[in-house]
This record gives sequence, C-alpha cells and structure tokens, in this order.
Amino acid sequence: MIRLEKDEKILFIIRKHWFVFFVDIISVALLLLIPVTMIASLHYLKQFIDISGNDVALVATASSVVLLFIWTSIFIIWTDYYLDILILTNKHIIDVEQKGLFSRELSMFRLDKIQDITSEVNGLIPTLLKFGTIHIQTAGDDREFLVRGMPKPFEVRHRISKQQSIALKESRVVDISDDSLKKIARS
Amino acid sequence: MKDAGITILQETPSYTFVISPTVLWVILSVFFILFLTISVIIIYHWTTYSYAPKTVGRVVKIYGFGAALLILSIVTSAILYTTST
Repeated sequence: MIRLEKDEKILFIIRKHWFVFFVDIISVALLLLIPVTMIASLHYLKQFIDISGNDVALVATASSVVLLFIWTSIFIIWTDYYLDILILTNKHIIDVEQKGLFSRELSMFRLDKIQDITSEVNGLIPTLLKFGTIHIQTAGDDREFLVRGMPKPFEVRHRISKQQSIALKESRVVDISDDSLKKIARS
Repeated sequence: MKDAGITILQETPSYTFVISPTVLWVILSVFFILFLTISVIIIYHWTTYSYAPKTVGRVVKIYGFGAALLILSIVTSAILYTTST
C-alpha cells in the first residue's frame, strides 16, 4: 500500500486504457480454438481412433480444463491491468506498475521536482480511441518517467501541469511570522 | 503399447486410445492444486493492492462463479468417463 503524507490528498487515480487490456486478452482468447477444435474434430477422429469409454466425456473433461486455464489467465491479465495505476496527489505523482504476479514497481515523484511533461499519441488506433504515452522528466537525477497506454493523455498532462503549478507556488511560500521565527530559533 | 497409464492398441486400420481413470484423476488433481495456488495469489493481490473494495468483491464473485462452473463440468465429465471404462 502507498503511504501518503499527513496533509496529502489523492486528486485522481487513472488506469491504462481498456484497449491495452483488450490486446492482452486476444492472445488468450485464441486458446479458445483448442476446445472448439477438440469438439469439432471428435466425430472425424472416431474414424481412425477408437477411444475406449465415453469419448464425449473425455473430450468434455479436456475442454473444461483448457477453459479453466483460459478463465484463470484472463483474470491474471486483468490483475496486471487493474493494479497498474497512476495516482496524482496534491504533492506527488505515483506510478504503480504490476509486472506479472510476482513483480511490482512503485515510482513516486514530487510535483515540484517535475521539469517537463510531454504527452503523445501515435498511430491510428490510439488516435481513434484517445490514448497515448506521457513522459515526465524530473529534476535532480535526470529520471524520465514513462507511462504508456494512458487514456486522454493531453487532458492528464494538463491536470498534472495545473497541479504542478499549485505545488510550486506552495513550495515558494515562506512563513516569516514572529511565531515561526521563534520556533526556528528554538530548534 | 503402454506408457504411464495411457494405452494405444494398434488395430488395422484404426487405433484404440485408452486412458486409465486413475491417471486421469491424478492429472486433474495436479491441475486443481495449480489452479488453487494461482487463485490464492491473484485474490491476495486484489485484496491487498486494490483501491476499490467493491470492485474486488464483484470480481471475486465473478471469478469464483465461472471457476466453480468449470470445475463442476470437469468433475462431472471425469466421473462419466470413469464409470464408462
């Protein structure tokens, strides 16, 4: 779980575009051809192979096992998709990336450390479905932060920029009242 | 020809394919253990890392319902096969 600072608030949580999930699902969906082929070819195979016992029951067992494998795979892919999120708070931008079942990466950057935000949409499908990549360049260690498959990347960039401006203004505000000076002197 | 419970008897012009019920149930048990392990891992991920408990509740129900139907289908057809041999 992500621990936020005391006065930190989550402004929005954004997940990758559904098309990213859909593309991953296609490869698993192709496996559906296995049970379909098994059932369809049973009548043909009977001419050459004599399956001892109830052949329909055996094919049904094998097909159901394949279907259970497909069912589980779909949910593994969904887990990967569902847990990949971008969180914008009033202080940070957090990218959580689930890589399979046993790997999880969490990147966290202060909004006032962001130097540059770029969003891009490349290709026909991303243009039609409005998704793309967001690049975020941060100060200091020259780290580039890349988030692929973001829905409405220009809008997301605008919201991050807006929040970044607020964060920058807040970081520039210096309290020089008597009370705060006394506190500093005491410490 | 006999290998690990699967027997293929060659008869001209066709083959007889025999899978022993014991071997079938052993294979199914291995699949079931594997399925249970993966299920525990993915449900752990949903409950630990998700930000929407309502969505997780719904997904667990859908996943469980689909899996239960398929397991029922596997067990029923395996019993039918076992009794037929």
